[in-house]
Amino acid sequence: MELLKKVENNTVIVEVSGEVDGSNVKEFETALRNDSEGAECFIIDLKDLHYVSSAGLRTFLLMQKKMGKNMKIRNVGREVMDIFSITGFVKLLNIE
Amino acid sequence: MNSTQSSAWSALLPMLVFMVIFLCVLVISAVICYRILAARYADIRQELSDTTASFTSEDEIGDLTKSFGTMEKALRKYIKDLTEVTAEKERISAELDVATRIQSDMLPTDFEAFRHAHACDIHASMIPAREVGGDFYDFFTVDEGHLGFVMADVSGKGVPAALFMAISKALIRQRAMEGGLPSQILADVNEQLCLDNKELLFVTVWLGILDLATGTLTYANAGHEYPVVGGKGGFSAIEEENDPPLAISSGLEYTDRTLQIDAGESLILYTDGIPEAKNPAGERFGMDGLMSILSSVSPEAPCSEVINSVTTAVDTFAGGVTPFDDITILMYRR
Repeated sequence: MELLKKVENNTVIVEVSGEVDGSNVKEFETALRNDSEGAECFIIDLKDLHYVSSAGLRTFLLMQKKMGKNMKIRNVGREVMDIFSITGFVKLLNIE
Repeated sequence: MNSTQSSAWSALLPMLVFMVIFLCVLVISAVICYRILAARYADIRQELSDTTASFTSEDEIGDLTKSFGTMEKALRKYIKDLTEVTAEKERISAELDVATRIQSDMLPTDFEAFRHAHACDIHASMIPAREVGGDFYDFFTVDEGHLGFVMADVSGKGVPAALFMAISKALIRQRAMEGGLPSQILADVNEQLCLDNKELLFVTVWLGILDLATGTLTYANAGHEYPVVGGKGGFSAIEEENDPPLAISSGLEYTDRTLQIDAGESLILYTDGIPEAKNPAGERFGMDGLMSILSSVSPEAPCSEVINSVTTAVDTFAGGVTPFDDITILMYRR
């Protein structure tokens, strides 16, 4: 899993690539928390994310609750969208 | 004295004299040896104290003495740290033991009684991961004409997840016994779980109520894996869009769906520990792996056999990689 942070004006964009599961979820959560600190608008780009486990889903949920409307998820690939769908998370996350 | 006695004495006398002389020689030798040894010991002690006195004066030896002193300090610190770490490890290990006990103690295992009571076949297995993961299953008699089945997975690990699992399981069973549709049961349990949930744990739940008279299985899926049904044509997964897991958001609504389970047909429920199991190459067992192993078993095989085939297949696939998540599976055949 790799994270790439970009800042455009007041918007923080984090591109997540690879996979998020039990083995790297702590890293993932810490990075997202740090990157979103003080951001007015926080976008998580999942273009290159192939898989996320339930552990990773919890992180998305925590971030969504923390940031509220200020957080968006975009460019969700088919595999991850299936996961969001099975788990009902598609109804919980702010997905563009 | 008569002649026999005096001849006996004359035989004994030389022997006695010899023994006395022998003893004297022994004693004298012992004394001499002791004296020699004592003198040598005194010499050695003198040598030693002479040499030790000279240690502090020689640079190289002086360094060696200092090194010993440093080493002793380091050794003491190492032992102290090790004791602390070991105590911490034991505490964590004890905590995990508690979590494991909570989890395994509360899963129903009275399969035989259930089989007899309802003229069916049923079996379930829960293999805990290294760190307790919070999976649970449940099956129970709702009333004379209805059976309840639950498969669930609490997010998070350790004691908090185990406790949350215990609470969720109890709430679901209790509410389900009161009757009603699965959508209503899950909605009510959700409300209760949303209270006092600071850890933001959530639980995915599949809940089904089987009408024994008609074979209609009414179910609701709160973010859980797809159920698998088995009939003469083999096994197939029912893929649908699910509602969110429980304990995330208050006021959510759930959807009821139905399936037909006729005599001889079966239902398999499981948690994501199975599709998520990884092999040394990092590949996942996946739904493909699950459906593949199920296609190789007879839909008429006993539930315990089917379950065993699945868990063995996952274990073989994992090839020694420690599973991150619990592996839980339940099968019911009408």
